[in-house]
Amino acid sequence: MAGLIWLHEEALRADHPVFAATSGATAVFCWDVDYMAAADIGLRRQIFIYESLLDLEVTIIRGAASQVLPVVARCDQATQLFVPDTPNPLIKQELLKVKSALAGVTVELVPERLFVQLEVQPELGRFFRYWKKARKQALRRGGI
Amino acid sequence: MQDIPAHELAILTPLTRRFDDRAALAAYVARLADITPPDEPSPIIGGRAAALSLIAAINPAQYSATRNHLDGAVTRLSAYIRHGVLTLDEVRNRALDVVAAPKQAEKFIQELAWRDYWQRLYTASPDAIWVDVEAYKTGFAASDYADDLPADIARGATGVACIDAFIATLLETGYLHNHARMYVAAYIVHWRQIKWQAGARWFLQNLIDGDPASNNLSWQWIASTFANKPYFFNLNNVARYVGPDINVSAADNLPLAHSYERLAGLLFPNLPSPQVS
Ligand SMILES: Cc1cc2nc3c(=O)[nH]c(=O)nc-3n(C[C@H](O)[C@H](O)[C@H](O)COP(=O)(O)OP(=O)(O)OC[C@H]3O[C@@H](n4cnc5c(N)ncnc54)[C@H](O)[C@@H]3O)c2cc1C
Repeated sequence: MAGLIWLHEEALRADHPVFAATSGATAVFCWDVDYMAAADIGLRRQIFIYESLLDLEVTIIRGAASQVLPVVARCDQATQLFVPDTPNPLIKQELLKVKSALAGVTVELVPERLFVQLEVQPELGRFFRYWKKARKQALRRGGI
Repeated sequence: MQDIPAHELAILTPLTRRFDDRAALAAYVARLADITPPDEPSPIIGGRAAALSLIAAINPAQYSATRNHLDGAVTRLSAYIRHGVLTLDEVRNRALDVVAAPKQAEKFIQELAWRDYWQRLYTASPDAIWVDVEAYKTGFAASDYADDLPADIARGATGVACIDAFIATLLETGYLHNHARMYVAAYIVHWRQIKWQAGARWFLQNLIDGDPASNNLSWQWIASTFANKPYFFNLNNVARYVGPDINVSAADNLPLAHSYERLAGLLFPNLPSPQVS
């Protein structure tokens, strides 16, 4: 089963779990200037992102993910799409468009490595309430 | 790959990965965005190698002693962490590796935890990231604050010398020390009475580490829409933390050159008594 990775600007390293989720997949970064304007990513940050991409085995293609990925998926006969998980609503919206253009392709969101592994989500009302719950794990290697 | 229509072939033509130097890369990226390239490449270099050399320099003891000073031993890792070049986990692990006991790295790890905390809030309510979490606690309503960032601020020409110096650093390098971010944000929201959203958007556009969660929620902390009191400062405080390159003369920083009591009265005249942090 051929896999495709949609790499976005929150996961710019070779050992992000998205690369371990699938082997031999093509990774694509969609260079979408309209998205970057909407996400307030200014020129200096764009340069930083491009520089960081040069470290990675990733094809950089100009255009919105919903235009680029369906074409790449068809050429690669991809059946699975892997995406680094993110809270970013703009990426999530684009992902919805990608999904509707990729009938028959399963989409998996791959989470980032955690800073602290907590059994219950701590109360987030104020930082120090969170810190009280997270401190012990935070001060340990691996956050365990 | 047969029978691919021309417009799809265009899509499949990748952008270049070969550049003679950083200036050529910057010019290429600027062209893609139809923007004039910057005069100077940023001192913050993208990629893992640059990130690892910064990680190697982490000194948790010096960090906790000096982090509030503009020339203190802060790590400048933020752009790498924000873009996933580094994880909070590996940065924390490195800090633990270079101390005798975890407690010695606690201050530094707690700062990393701020990012984790903001990200958890963002993940819980992603669509609320531009919305006031709570009401302002400044004696003003949100509607009393202006919607747009004035041009003098965007240009770094406010006439308040230290603020203009911080803005110049932001525009030239894409990075600002945490304390300078606090000063600029508080100046914009409390002295100029502008909605935090306007300042936050401008920061995001100019910071290489610009992050919707860390940035917007920090602005809300300054503004008091996500804190119990507004954050403000005075010129004496700035003078304590900046180096000799920043002009902190009272004559050139008049709006800041007051005692805290006087400033509380000027900035928050509707509050009964100083309610500030
Ligand atoms: C108004 C305002 C806006 C901000 N906007 C951003 C932003 O867009 N992106 C961003 O990453 N940080 C933001 N911060 C938080 C903080 O200022 C920066 O993370 C820090 O200054 C980056 O420099 P450093 O890497 O040298 O930090 P260090 O002090 O060396 O800290 C190490 C790492 O811990 C994390 N960290 C430290 N302090 C904070 C904090 N208060 N909140 C969140 N993470 C923290 C960062 O990932 C940082 O790289 C903002 C703070 C304020 C007051």
